[in-house]
Amino acid sequence: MTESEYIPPYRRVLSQAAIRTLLVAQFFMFLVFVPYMPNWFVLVFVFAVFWRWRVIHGQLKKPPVWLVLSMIVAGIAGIVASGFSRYSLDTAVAFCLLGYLLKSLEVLRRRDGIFQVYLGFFLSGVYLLYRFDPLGALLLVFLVLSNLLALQAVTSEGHFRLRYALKQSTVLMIGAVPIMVAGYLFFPRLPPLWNIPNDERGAQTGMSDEMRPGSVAELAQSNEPAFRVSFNGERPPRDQWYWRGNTMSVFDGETWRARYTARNPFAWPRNIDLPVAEGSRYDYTVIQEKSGQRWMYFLDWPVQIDGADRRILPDARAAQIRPINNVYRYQAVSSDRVSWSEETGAQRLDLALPQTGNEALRAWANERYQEAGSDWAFVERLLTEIREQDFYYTLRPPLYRGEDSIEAFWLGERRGFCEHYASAMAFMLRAVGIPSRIVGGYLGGTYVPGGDYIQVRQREAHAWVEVWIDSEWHRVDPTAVVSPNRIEMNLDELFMGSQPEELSVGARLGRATLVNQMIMYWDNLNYQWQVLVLDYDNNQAIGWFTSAFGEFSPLKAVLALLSVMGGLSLAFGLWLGLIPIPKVQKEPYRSLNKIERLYGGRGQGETLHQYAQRLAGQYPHHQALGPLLQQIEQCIYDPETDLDRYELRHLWQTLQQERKQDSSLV
Amino acid sequence: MIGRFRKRVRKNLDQWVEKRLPQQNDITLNQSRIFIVPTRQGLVLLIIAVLVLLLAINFESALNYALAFWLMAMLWMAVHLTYRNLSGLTLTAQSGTLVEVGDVSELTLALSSTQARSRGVLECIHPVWGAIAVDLHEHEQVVTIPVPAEQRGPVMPPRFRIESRYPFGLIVAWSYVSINVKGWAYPKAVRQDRQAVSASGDEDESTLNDHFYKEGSEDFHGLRTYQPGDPIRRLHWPGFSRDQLLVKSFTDYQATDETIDWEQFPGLSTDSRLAAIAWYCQKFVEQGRPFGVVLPNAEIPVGKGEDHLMRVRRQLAEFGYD
Repeated sequence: MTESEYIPPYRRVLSQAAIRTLLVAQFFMFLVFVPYMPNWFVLVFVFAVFWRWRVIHGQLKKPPVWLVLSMIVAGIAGIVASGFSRYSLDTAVAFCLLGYLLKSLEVLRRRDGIFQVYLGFFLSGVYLLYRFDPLGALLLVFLVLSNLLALQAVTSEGHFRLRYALKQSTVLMIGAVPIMVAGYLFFPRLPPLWNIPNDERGAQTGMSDEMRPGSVAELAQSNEPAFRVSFNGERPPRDQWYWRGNTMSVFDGETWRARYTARNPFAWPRNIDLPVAEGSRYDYTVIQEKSGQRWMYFLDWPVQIDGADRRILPDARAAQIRPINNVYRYQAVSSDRVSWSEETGAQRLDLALPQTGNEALRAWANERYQEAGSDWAFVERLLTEIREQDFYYTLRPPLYRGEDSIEAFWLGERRGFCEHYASAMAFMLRAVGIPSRIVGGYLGGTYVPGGDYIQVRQREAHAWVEVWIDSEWHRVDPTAVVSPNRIEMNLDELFMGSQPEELSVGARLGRATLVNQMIMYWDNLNYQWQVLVLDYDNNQAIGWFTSAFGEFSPLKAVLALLSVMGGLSLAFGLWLGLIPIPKVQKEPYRSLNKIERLYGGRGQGETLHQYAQRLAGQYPHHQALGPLLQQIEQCIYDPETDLDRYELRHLWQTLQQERKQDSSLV
Repeated sequence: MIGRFRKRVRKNLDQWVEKRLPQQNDITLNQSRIFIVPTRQGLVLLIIAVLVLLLAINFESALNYALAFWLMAMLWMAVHLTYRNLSGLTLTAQSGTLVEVGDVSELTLALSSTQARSRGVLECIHPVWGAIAVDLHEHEQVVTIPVPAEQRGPVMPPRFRIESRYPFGLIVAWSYVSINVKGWAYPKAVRQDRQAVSASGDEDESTLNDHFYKEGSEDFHGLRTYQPGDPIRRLHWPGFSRDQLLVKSFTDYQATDETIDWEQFPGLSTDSRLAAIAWYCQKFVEQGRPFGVVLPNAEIPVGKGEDHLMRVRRQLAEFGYD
């Protein structure tokens, strides 16, 4: 054995197995981020792999400084050139990943390896910002495992065994689960400390607060879920499944916009009265997918919505100050009939139209209004027009552009999607002086019996009109006239019958029964995941805590945590064999041991019989001793005899009494 | 000031350890002997967990809360796994080698345990020998510790640190082990002049030892010419009658000086005497001559060869340490 100098662990050189395992972990880490990063990152990764390969084959040297510097400069230039120039999460992640890849050029010592693994843990957390569905969580478990394996390889002093490492890592991960759950349940959910804008993660989906021609049809091509609703109690009838998203009341000739936009949430009015419920009330919970927007969805018409950072806007919308970058759950109450509070001045604004454009349509509308005589008659007249003329409902309408786009639709092609009908109708109502606005949202959904909720996908996107007549907003849906089945059916069901070619492949595939069932199962799983995990509200856990231990206080929480940890430690100690369990001796050896303890042990070579005789001589008053020993002897040497437990206990009791008398005599 | 304070703390700590973990022939590590704390690496993992928690708070990411606590709990869980590596481990003193002073004696310990379990890599650490790694994978292991022999006598390992950072390096568990395993160091050979001593008071004999004649007469080797100083008894009288001065010569190994005696080095210190004996022993072995050794407390009968030499050396090493 040679005398060796003590090298602190952090400075030890990594073994080949460690470098290889690190490389594998890095590969998985990199792989999950590929969809979110520019493609040329693959080149960086290939270069890193090449360098590692060199290291494995004997080039145990740090890369030259010029190489590292030029890689860093090239990487930063590449990131900026790829459009990640703004201060945002994606940019930060891109830099982080670049560092993660380039760091591997100089991983030679344990310290570097550990750094790499820890960065991997952190990046796993970052990955959860992009994906938080059950599959993402599974991937996370896998990523943590591979990083733990790498950590074990790095710290294994050159004795890396995959089986052993797998076992240890699994034990570590499973053993850590109870504390993880406790922390997850009880750690208070704090508000964000600072704000980092993000692009990819915050990519906006769902109804936006403006509606261009064609935007709803575009949305209707998507199979993504938008939100899920579960009713506490009765569900409204199917034809009432109008899910309100946005109210758009500003029109510029082409695009409808919301009056209160996402750009300046601080200008939103506060403390607005919502309509008061007059019809049947529906109490429900919505779980909204991340949309990157501020609008929340609810059944028409909302009368109540919970949440502190949620605002009710005067145009019957609810919005959150911060964008919805996560799955959110909220409770709301709606009613099918409401009485509207007098909104002074608002209705006047809902008459505004551009000065010019669609002149022929304005004239056409005014003419019909004169004929109709009343507001309601005019609305009816418009619907009849749609019903009687050859209007056609399609997902792929021609593009109507320019100042006279509405006219081109209504008086020209007459092929359009819900947004075209709604837009044209609202325009004509305004043209004749009836306040009206467009509501963007969703119509329909799929009831999932397994989870007792209604799933609404993006493809259920819809737009309709609200009209102010008799001091009340009324819903008017022109789609119900042009395609009456749309109210009862989802879009894919509707088009599957008549125009399947207009649907996306995914939607068509989803119509197959088996696939449909599987999709529903998966959706249910997602729903449960969202309810139980993502949108977990720790008030509930604190509720349990309070009911069990009284008022919540940090001291109590710490004590509870410590006692949980203590209990778990004990359990793990037993499980891992750290705490030996004392073996209970079987009868009759236990009794024999006890006698030997009380009366002194047997001498060397002394048989049980001799022992009994000796004790009988020494302790004549202890009558029970003889029979007791006799029974023990019999039991040990005669396998035929069964132990008479009752007798044994009786003899012991007698002996105890005799001993007591003995000691009292003394 | 701080340095002095630290020194005092250090000293108190050493004393405490000395009292708490006394020297033993075999040591089983248990909760009263194992110390355990997170390593720097483990603390950095905590920092990473806090960063992940920040992610969770700032991006309202529910799963990151779970990940953050998972990482923290892993550190806690690693305490059990690392503790498990040392717990129940028995170190048993086995043997030590015999070396010359100044050389390195190899002391052997057996690491075993009643429960068969993989314990990963343990390290025996001391500034004297650095770190010795032992891979304890599902079976017993023998660890050899090199300890330089600085003086004649027993070579004992200093109190050393046995530590485990397995399996993830997050936690370090260690114990200080002072184990009663001994190697021996025999003195470095130093040449001294031997002085004749007469055995058992036969003063009139001029030869060093008279029993040579009784025994050695059997192994008559031949005749050689007389040299001044040859004992008169060995004269070959028949040859003398032919005017040849011959002496009966006996084989070399039957030389009279076969016993190296403690008393042959009067006036020297104990260690010098032992060093001198070592020198003569070495010489004898080099020349292939048999020899015996007489020490005040022991007498090693005549013999030859390496084994004999080792026995003698062992005796020299142990002299005064019985």
